[in-house]
Amino acid sequence: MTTLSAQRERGTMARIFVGPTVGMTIRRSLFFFMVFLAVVAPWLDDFSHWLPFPIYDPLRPDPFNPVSPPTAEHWFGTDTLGLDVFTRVLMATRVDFTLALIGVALGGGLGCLAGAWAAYRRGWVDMVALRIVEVLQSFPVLLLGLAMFAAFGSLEIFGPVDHGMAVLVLSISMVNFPLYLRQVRSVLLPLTEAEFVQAAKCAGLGAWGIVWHHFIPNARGQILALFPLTCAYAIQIIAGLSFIGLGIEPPNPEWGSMIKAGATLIVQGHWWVSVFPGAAIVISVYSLTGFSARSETLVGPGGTSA
Amino acid sequence: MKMLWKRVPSVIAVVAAMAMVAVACGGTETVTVTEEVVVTSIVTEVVTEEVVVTETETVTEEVVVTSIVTEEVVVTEEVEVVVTETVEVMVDDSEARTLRIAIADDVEQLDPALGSAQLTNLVLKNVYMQPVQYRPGPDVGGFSYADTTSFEGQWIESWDFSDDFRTITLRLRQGLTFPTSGNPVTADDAIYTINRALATGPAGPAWVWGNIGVTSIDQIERVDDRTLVVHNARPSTIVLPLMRDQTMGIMDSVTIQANSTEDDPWGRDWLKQNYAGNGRYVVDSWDRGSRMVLKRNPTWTGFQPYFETVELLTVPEAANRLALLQSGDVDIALDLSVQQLQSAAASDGVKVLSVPDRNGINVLLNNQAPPFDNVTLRKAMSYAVDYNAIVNGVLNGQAVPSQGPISVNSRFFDLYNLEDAWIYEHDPDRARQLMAEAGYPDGFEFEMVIRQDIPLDEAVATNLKAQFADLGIDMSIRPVTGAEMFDHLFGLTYGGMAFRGGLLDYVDDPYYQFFLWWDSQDAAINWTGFADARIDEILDETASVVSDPGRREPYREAVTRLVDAAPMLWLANANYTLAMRDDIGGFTLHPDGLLWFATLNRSG
Repeated sequence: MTTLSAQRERGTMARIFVGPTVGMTIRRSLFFFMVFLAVVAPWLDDFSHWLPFPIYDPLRPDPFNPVSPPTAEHWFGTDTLGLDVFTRVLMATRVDFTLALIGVALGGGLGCLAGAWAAYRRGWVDMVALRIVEVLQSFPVLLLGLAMFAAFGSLEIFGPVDHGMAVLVLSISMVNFPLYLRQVRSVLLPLTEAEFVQAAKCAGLGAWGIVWHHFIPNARGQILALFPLTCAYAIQIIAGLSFIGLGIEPPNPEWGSMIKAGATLIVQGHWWVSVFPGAAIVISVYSLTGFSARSETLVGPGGTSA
Repeated sequence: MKMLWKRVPSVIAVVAAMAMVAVACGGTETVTVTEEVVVTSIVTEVVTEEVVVTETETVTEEVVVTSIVTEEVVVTEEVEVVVTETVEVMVDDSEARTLRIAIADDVEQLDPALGSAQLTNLVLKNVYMQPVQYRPGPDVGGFSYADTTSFEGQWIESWDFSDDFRTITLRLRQGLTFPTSGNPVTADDAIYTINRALATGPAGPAWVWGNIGVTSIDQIERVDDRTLVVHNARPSTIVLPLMRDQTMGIMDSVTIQANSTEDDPWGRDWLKQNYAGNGRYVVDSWDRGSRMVLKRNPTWTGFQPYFETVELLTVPEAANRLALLQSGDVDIALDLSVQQLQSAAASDGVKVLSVPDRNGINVLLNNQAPPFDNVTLRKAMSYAVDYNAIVNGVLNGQAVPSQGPISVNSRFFDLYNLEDAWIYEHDPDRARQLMAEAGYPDGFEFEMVIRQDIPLDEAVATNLKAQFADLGIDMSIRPVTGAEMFDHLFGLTYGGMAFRGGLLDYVDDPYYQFFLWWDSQDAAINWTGFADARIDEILDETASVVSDPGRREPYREAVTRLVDAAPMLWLANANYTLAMRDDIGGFTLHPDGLLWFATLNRSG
């Protein structure tokens, strides 16, 4: 408890960086380190003189140096095309983190609103929402992704946005929408008859007003606890879909497609092409779980007050 | 007992020595010992031995020696061996006479009339008997090229052209039998085969017969049981090369008719899965999706192939094909990537054959849509390519830079002095200048379509993307399925460029390539949408010219015009590469690049 109270005394910023345990703090530091690298990655080339590691163009193959093992020139080796694995793992962080974040925010946001609305209205609205959720959740994730690509694959409907990435984001949203809807609905269902809701109604607040001002804030703890975990899950889905060749257009760097590029090389002893992007996924998922502590602190009695 | 165990190797050696003597004396021999003894162990040993088959031929045989060892065994310098009740020496070479090939996919189907899929073509060539085949050329260091100027008759024994090349007399080989049914091969089968081809067209053999000039069965006259006359044929240099096409095999008309129905008068459904031919090999069994077993044709009386059995094993993952080859479980692995071939070459017991070939590593440009409907821009792209990076980097030096539509490894390249026609080299400044002239001084965007999951396609596309980026050109890459690729190519719906692995003309002749690719009216695969009236004219003028002096100048002009118009990027001519166990020999490269099993043996 000392840790908890000490933490509460610090500012909000500090609470984001410092977890309730040492392990959590390490995971969070890892996460912010990766985010930092992802943000600065495109400019690293300009500062290559000051960097301890050599940096390359992630899209420029060196056909004369394919499948080179890790060396001082190529920290993580090169792949079959002669692309530098280190630079690509770094650059892929941008792609994977950004897509995961947008996808979860989009699907989660809509899921929260729909969940709160279903909990408030109950009746047929609730029933329809639940049936939609059940249909969406009855598909295995990869199958859902495949179906999305089959449905939108040949439609040029996203304008200037990269087509594959847009469908990936949509797929992530489709997976997260039911998760958030169910979670938020289950938390808020008991509150429909709560006194403060009745009071709000008496005060003349409209349905959306009540949902927005009184329902959603009450689910905040659940949402914040779910968010890092679903982001971690989304990264795995993106990598999974890319692994089966959907989403990111080659040769753009992405962890899943990089693992795939090296998968057949492992039996020949060329482990580095797959192992480093695989490690990047593991580390990013592990680091994101460092934030799930929010569930302990926020779902408790102190966290649920509106 | 311990001492005895130590002696076992010595005993084996002695028994093996006896076995070798026995084999050398000729075949299986049984030694009977009268004394009754106690058996202590049974030892089986495989001894490899060279056996002289003829004065000139030596083959390696495996001898399985089984010995039963007793307590009385004494081994001395003078060798007193009390052995066993019997010592059996068996010569078992069925393993050695089996060729195992790992292929990337199941054989698509077996009907020659449908043709055109790669593995179907490979099997059809070996299990059906074509009218003619190329003779193998001389050995040139462990392999040979087929002699494309010399043919030997297969189901036709000999042929005669009339003076105007419009009438061809075909004399059928006598005494042939279809091994699976026992039916004799007759003139009726020949006519049925041609008729079926024409009726089930336009793909496969119908296309081939059409280019020979046969579009109706009425053009085939049956003179007698062993003579057919083809009337009103189209004179060209490629009549015989077309007749060796893998889809031209003679078929068992009796069997096919017995398996035809009213709805399916040509037995198409049955022939997709079944076999009615008489090639050097016959289809013995086929487990869809896993393996096809071919057996040597017992009715063929000519030169006998070394391998009695050929097993085609479907192994979809290239890495697994390589692993099977390295472990010795297969003798040949097809479709390996450049890196995998490198790994294979470095493995014990594996060799990689790399043979200069006409295989074209070419990028197709859509000549009918912006931006590459602009000839100046197409030429700019030809100067923008770093040919050295493709040849020595991507293809690891297993290629030579291309010099236009006719491969530098074609015999016609030297014959027609085509090196003069080639004008391109890696010259970024010239490329920039031409881009500016074409109205794109600051670069442009376009898309390249490639097949997904094909390492070579990905490598070529990725390298070109980086090379073009230096000139401010933004090329995006879109991988598609094989079927989508065909739709794009035939429909000319790809954005700017398309790349589809190695492109090989099955016949080494400029006429074949030009009518296949560059005839703006009738080209079978005009995948670039290129059209040039003068080239069409040259093709019309030379189509019936059957001697090379008469074709030399027209084709030089056509090639020069084509190179100048740059309808595609001719990057390289890749070697034919094949990874195999190092005891496999007798490889002959045919112009169609399809592996010919009949000359392979285990003496490499």
